[in-house]
Amino acid sequence: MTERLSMCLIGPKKGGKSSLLASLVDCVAQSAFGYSPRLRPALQPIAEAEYDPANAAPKKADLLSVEQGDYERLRREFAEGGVATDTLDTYEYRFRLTVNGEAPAPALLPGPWLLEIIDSAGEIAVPPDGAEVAILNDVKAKLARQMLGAEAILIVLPLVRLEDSGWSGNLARLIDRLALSPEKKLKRLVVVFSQYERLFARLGPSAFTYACDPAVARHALRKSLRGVQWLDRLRALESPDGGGVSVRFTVCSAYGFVKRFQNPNIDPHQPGERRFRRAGLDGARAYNEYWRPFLTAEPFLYAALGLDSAFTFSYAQLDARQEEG
Amino acid sequence: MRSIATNGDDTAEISLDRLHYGKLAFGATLRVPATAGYGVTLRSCDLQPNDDQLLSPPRLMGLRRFEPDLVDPASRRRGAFLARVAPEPNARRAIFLRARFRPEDGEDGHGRLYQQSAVWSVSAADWRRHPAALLAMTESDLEALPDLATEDEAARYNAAPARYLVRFLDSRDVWSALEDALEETRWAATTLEFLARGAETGADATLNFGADDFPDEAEFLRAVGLALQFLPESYPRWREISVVSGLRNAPEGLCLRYLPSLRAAAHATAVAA
Repeated sequence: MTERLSMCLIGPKKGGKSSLLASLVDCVAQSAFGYSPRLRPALQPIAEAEYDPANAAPKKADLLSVEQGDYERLRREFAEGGVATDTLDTYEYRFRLTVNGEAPAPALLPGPWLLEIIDSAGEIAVPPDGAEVAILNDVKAKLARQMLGAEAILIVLPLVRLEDSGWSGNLARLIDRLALSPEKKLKRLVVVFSQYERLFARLGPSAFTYACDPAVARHALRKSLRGVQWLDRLRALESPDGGGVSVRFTVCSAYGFVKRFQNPNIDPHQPGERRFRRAGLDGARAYNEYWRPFLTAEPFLYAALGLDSAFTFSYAQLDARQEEG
Repeated sequence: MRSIATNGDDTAEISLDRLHYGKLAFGATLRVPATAGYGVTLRSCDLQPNDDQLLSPPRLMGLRRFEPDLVDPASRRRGAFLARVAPEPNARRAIFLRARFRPEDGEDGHGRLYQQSAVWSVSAADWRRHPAALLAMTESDLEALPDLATEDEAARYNAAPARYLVRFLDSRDVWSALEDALEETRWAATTLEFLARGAETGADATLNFGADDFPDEAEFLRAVGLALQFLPESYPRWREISVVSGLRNAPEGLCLRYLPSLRAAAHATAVAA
């Protein structure tokens, strides 16, 4: 039976929300996730008309306009260095998810799942603390509506320099409001730490090996979460009074690690932050030879299926590790 | 937005309200600091916060979202341009928009891109009276540049309108210039025919020009300004006319568009929307 699921990507600006989404389909296609390869998930971008035939808006044709799917455009922009998501609207991307292999029963329904993933500028939901950000009221109201109507929320945070973050107060307040909202439909919340590859920048060809160890990810998460003021606020969401939401923590890297060479995929010889690429080719093709995203499917698959991978950690798992330490 | 003030001779003063959307920047290369987020960074004193939504670039362009690939490659540095009567119902203002994507790490940087735009708003009556002058002014002065993080915030949200002096054009001079263009160029006849047919049919249509028709945007706007200046007061679809440069999307209505990378066309082409 087809199931529709809505999920919101939120987090501070420049945290990697759009990059996470842009690399999602490639991550699934390359099986670059922590689920068993026997799960064999498949993910395909679909049009609004397929997700919601009753309410899809007809599109005007223009011979000279660029006709391409929104997700294809997002992927292309990611390949070209990325574009900061504006605050003038929130943006919905839709996918069909199927699971074609073995899945541990009884958690799994037969599917397919039609996913609506809502991306938005970080300034809207998690503005910098103390800053007066002029956001259109309509846009704020729309995102608030979408968050209350979402079955899952993915909070994307940059892993590096978390202690310097100037947005943690606003994130804590947002979590509080979510916990107190009786009308929310939220079932799952995933905290995703992006830019995981940067922890391994000095490990060269050993980087991927270390990154692939779930114990390393769990250690990195535990270290990053130490002293974070919003952590206990999240626990309130898990309590029955907070809605009994399943909370998970994971790591990911949209740039990932270089195929064959295994080092973090940031080319130091390119201006700005660019992945390694094959000279002489244009666009996404130039990157494909080397690019392997890392675990960017994890938060979405957990949010959709409620299925844990080797890299999704519950409070209980993180606490247990802490006690061991 | 203020109405035109005549000066008792053949000139008049036009007042333009301004609104900038994007990010604040600093330094010689106008780098965006890590703390700067998107927002309206400048608003004329005669505009209200409610205008932010009405004057948002995608809304003015008739788009759900403004994206880099909608800007003609040859227009990327300066940005796309749009002039039209504002799309809100019974609008009494016309808008001029310049919008582009620039790197966050400075003008010649290689970092992430973000949207920067500048809007001028004038009374629709001024746009109707002075299309040639307004297009010339915007071509010369309307730039999508970020405001400076060092500038006083109160001043940016209470900016004085820009004022320009324009000359009333004699209709005989306009016709004379157009007559020359009809003899010497291809665009004049094509444009006038397009506007005449648009008035007859009432259908949405776009007239595209490319690099074979005009060497640059300035020439295109000069030509279109002349053609619009020639239109009689009674032209029925004035409010539906838009002038677009470097944007690969045409608003509804009658659109006169210049795409500098469009070279394949042997001459201007009209496309029914």
